[in-house]
Amino acid sequence: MAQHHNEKVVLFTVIVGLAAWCVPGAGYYLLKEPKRGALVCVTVVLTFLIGLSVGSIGVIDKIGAKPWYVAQVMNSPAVMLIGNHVAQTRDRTSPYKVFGRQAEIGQIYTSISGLLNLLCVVNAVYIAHTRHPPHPGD
Amino acid sequence: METAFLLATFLYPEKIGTTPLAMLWVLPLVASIAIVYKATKVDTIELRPFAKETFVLFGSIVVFLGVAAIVLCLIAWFVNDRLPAMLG
Repeated sequence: MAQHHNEKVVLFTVIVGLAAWCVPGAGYYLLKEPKRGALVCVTVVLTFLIGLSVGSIGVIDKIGAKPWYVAQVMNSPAVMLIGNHVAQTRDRTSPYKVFGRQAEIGQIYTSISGLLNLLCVVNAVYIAHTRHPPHPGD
Repeated sequence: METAFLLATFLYPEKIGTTPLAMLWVLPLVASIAIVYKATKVDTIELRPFAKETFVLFGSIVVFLGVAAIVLCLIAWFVNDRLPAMLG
């Protein structure tokens, strides 16, 4: 019985973490905190979109800027699709090349929004874990 | 047409010069950081207390950035202008 409960707790925690990563704020929705979820969703998505608008999708460069890319992927797995698309066009005429201040600002915005979402993922998982603690001794 | 325009905004970068005004781009980012950080910290989200706490954090970060910028400018000024004169 206790083992079954613990399995459910672990599964729920993993689902909250994955949902929070896939859609910013979704983890809080699963924890029945829609206001917090909406606030996080709007803020993280808006910050990411401002970064893309300023620097274009060229700032998501998984070959030339790997550390930034790791932070950007924390926004959502969907960022990997953009990263793959940009990487495929890299060797050809490369229409998405971006330099200068706009590249810096775009990269900083998209990466910081990813790190903010990572903070929310960790926070949602922590809340899920503390609300439904596993049975002691198992 | 509108969809094409919307897509184009994400396919081509904006033009942002290397000017002092470009530093203002830090403000929306600080606002995002303050909002998300406070959203993870407060117990309940209620408009007034949340806005107040977020604004205080936003102000603190901006003031700290300003102080850090002034200190760095002073160090740069000292090393570039004063130190060579003092060493003869």
